[in-house]
Amino acid sequence: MKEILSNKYLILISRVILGYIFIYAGMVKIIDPAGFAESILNYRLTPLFLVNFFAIVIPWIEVVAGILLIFGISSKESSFIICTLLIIFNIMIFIAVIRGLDIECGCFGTNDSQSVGIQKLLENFVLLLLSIQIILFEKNKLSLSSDSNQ
Amino acid sequence: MKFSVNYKNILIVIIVSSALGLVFNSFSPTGIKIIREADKVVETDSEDYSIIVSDGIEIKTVESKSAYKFFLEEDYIFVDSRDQWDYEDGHIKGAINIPQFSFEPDNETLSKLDKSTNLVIYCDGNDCDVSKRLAKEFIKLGYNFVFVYLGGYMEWATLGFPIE
Repeated sequence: MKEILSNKYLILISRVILGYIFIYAGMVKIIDPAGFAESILNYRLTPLFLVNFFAIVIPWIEVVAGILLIFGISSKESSFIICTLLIIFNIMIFIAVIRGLDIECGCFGTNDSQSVGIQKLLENFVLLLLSIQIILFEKNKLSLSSDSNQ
Repeated sequence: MKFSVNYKNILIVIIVSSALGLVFNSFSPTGIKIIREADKVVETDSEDYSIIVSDGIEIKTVESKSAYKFFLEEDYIFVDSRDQWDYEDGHIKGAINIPQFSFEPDNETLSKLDKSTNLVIYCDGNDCDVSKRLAKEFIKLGYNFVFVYLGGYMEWATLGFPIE
């Protein structure tokens, strides 16, 4: 099992999938920061004065981490950031589900029309597993970082 | 299998990304204020509507009673700001559909609406915000008589008011 999970090609695929999803998710939010701010607001978990700041900053963290992940630059660190974001997102979605809020996820901007729910939690959980695989097994092969071509 | 991450690199990525975001936001035409202010309620003499200030824009909001009164007066156009699928599932009788998420200022429906048209915009209910966002778009375009029915379709249907 460990050999499969640490296979350099499998890790490359995980990096590309996770990186692509986060670049896309970040880009659609960068285009419409006001919409993303409203999405954050709908969860009713963030202090009002911080809502816009998060709406401005988080999409860029997603995009930069996604790009670094695809190119294999600081893969573990980028994946750690994505992993942390996914845990935060899932906690927020979980609380929204428990509170019975019928709100849009906002995960891919405001156009995705995906409501928060078990399906979204499971989707994020799969991405979470990919990020954990990269954190634990990535050895900077097939990447642009300094110790590539090992 | 080894858990070893460089926390310094993590911090650098976060700081650089945040800086990029803040700089981009300050130059972007769709940029927003870094610190968000709460919607303020402005005192008004009208019994029909209240005024809230959201992102510096004054929005007139109405309760179900006034919304129904406007509905009966017939010179008010109700605008459903939800997507077309929600609209097709059911909407306030006679309402037109202008989804907020795909709103464009050169929208074909918009060209038929005079700037002095009375508009009552709604979405699902109190938990949704697209009605307020669409109202802001209309106000920016120079529409003078824009109202937001905060209770939305849910409240309207619950009260047994006409739907189709």
